[in-house]
Amino acid sequence: MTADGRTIGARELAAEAVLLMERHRITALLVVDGERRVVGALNVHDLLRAGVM
Amino acid sequence: MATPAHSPTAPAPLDDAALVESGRVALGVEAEAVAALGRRLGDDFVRACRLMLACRGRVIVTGLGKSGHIAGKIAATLASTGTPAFFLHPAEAVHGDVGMITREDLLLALSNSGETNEILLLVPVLKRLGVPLIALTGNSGSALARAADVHVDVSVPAEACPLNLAPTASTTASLAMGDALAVTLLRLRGFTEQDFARSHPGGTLGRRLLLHVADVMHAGEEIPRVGPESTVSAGLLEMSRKGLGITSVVAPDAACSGYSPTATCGARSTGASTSIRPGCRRS
Repeated sequence: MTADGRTIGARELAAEAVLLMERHRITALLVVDGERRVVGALNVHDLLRAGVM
Repeated sequence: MATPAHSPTAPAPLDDAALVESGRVALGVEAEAVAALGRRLGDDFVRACRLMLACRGRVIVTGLGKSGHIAGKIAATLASTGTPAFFLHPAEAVHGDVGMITREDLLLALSNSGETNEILLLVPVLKRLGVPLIALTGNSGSALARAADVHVDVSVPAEACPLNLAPTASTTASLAMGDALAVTLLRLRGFTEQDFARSHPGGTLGRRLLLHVADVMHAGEEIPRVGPESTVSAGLLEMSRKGLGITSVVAPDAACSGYSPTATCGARSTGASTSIRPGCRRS
C-alpha cells in the first residue's frame, strides 16, 4: 500500500481534484477532513460524470 | 426557380475573389464603425455607466426590429455579468407589458433613427414613474435622444449594406456599445469569475467553479475501506466491491467513529491506469 496517499478536502473544488489527479498521474483520491479522517472517495469517472473534466 | 423571387433580373455572377472582397469590405465598414465609437466615447458614456450602476431595480432593454434583437443580447449580457436585466418588446409594452416596469428600474432604449414610435409612446410612462431613460441612437437630434436622461451616440457613417439600407454596421455599433457598458459595469461591481459561474450553472465553467469535491464524492458505506491487518485479497475484494479502483487502509478507532487519523491512513490503487489524458476533457 501507499502510506499517506494523495488526499483532498471535501470543500475543495472538484476541478482541484482533476488537477491533483493530473499532476500526480493518479485516477482516484481519498477525501479527508481536517484531522485526516477518511470521509469520502472519488475517481475519474465521478469527475467525468459531473462534467468537470 | 433559378432566379430568386425578389430579383427581377439575375444578379451579375461574381468570381471567388469578388466574394471574398465583398465580405472584406463589409467587415471593414463594421470594424471602422466600432472603432469610431471608441474615439467618440466621453461624458455620456460615463453618465450612462453611473446611472446603470445606481439602478436598484432591473435594466430593461428595449428596441424594435434589428435593434430588438440587439437589445435582447444586451439584456442577456448584462444579466450574466451582474446587472439584472431583461428585454422588453416595445410593441407588447404599449399593450400591457409596460406593467413590467417598476419605479426602481431603468430603461435602455435602442433605436438607430431615434424615432421608433412604439418606444416614444413609452416615454410619458417612464416620466410618470420617474424611471431614467438611456437612449442609444444614431441621431442626436431625434425625439428619443432628446427625451433621454442620457443619450449615447452610436451613429455610423454608413451601413455595410451596399444599398445603405439594411441595419448592419449600425446594429453592430449598438451591440458593441452594449458590451462596452456591460464590461464597464462588471469592472465597477468587482464582478469575479465565481460570480459569472453562478449565473452559468449549466456550463462547463460553472461546473468547474461551483462543484465541490463533496458534491461528487462517495461517502459512508460507499467508501472502500480495509484495515492495516487485512490481507491483500481482502483489499482486492473491497476494491472490486466499491468499484473505485482504490481502497483506503484505515485502522479502527472507536474515538472517531471507527476510523483513525493520518498515521495509518493509506491507499492502494490497482494502478491499471495512471494518467488522465488531456484529450479526455469535456469542452
